[in-house]
Amino acid sequence: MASNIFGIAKSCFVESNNPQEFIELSSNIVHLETLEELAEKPFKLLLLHGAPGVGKTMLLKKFSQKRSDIYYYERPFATSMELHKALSQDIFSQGRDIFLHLESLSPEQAKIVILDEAQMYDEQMLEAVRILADTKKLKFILAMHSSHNEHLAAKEHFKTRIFKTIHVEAPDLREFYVYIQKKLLRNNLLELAKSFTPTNAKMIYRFTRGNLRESDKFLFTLFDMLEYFFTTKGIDPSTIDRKFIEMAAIYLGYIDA
Amino acid sequence: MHEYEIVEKKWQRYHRKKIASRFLLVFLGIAIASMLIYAIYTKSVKQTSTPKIESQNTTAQSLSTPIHQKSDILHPDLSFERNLGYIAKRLAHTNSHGAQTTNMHKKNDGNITNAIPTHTTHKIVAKTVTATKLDIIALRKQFAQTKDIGIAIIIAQEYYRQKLYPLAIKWSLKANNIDKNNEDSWLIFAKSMYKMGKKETALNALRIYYKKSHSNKAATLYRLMLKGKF
Repeated sequence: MASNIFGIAKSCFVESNNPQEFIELSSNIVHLETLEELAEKPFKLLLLHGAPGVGKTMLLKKFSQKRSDIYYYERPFATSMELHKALSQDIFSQGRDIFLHLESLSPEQAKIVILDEAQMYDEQMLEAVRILADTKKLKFILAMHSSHNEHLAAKEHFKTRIFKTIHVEAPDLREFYVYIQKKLLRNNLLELAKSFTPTNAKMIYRFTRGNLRESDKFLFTLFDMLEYFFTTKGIDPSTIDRKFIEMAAIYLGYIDA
Repeated sequence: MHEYEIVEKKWQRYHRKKIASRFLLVFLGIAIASMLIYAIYTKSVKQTSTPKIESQNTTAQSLSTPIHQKSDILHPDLSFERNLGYIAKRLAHTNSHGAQTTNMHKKNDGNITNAIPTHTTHKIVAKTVTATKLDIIALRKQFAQTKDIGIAIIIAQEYYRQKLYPLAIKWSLKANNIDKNNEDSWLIFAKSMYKMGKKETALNALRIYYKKSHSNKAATLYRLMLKGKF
């Protein structure tokens, strides 16, 4: 049933940060490999920044799965105490002072700590991170938005301690098309993947500029609409009319109709 | 009604607007393109037509220049020359009115050239220097050396073209003085007179010339002037 096809397609684009759904694109594979290489080096801080929705979180989650010595924190800590406590618990399974634990580690045993949404951290928190990083027993990766140059404050704070800065960008049109195709094919939607043309992808890309979070939302809405109109009006499921893409754009506010 | 159906209605409105704006855009594009093409076409037509006019003028001049070579065609009697001399004398008197340095040779020996002022007013000379082109100055110098009637005719024609009618008359008379049967000298004289408002004088000159030459050109010009269509 075509309605089921559209229903399945819709579910492909439900927002999820499950690393199992990570779609390998040439750009994010490069970042992943860079992170893997850097993990072997004795860095104190890495800065990973990019606009919201370009796939930073998914990339870091995927990276954290690669090694056992990576500790990923998706939500920011409110205080340095919370951070110390969480690190003690997760790394050493004890609530003691983190610095006492760290003394027992050799530099070769240094752990990687990923702090997502680091743009939320104030000066005090950044200072706490700096002190922990200076022990050389914890290697921090700070992921943050760069839509308003939030990363520059962190860059200024850490200055010489930042080993490398990685800028994550939205995929280009070709990669964007590959992203949609891979998502559909992963769910065995071969016919739908065939009927989804590069022109369709181009139209959507024009609205979302390749932002993956926005694009997922757009595609979810599009397939939801197609499912509705197939059920109620029996539209042809073999092609995706630009009308429905424009309707999705109107619905999501990209077009002021 | 489902919210997607509302969206569909919105899309229909949006689509109609989009089509209309595209149509307008295409229409404007075509209009601008047409205007540009028309402008380019008009410009090219002008560019191609201008040299034609110039070549026609050149042809007219080249045709008129060798007229003096036909000097043996007609054998005039002296009576019309006397009449013409009288006309020229009156014209010279009119032109020099108000001028201080008019010097007229009044030898009425039947030669019309002698009846005109040998020196036109300083005003006219000054105007000649400034208004005429350098080639006229060169032609005048050339005429002074060669006394070629063709050059005199060209100068007269050029002055007539520049609406300097007294000078055109002067040079037509100079040409006539060299060859009394030169048709162009008569015609330029008559036309210049007519342009100066001396219609009767112009007609009289043409009548005189026609009597002795039976020139079709003179007859045609006479008829046109008589009807006031010149």
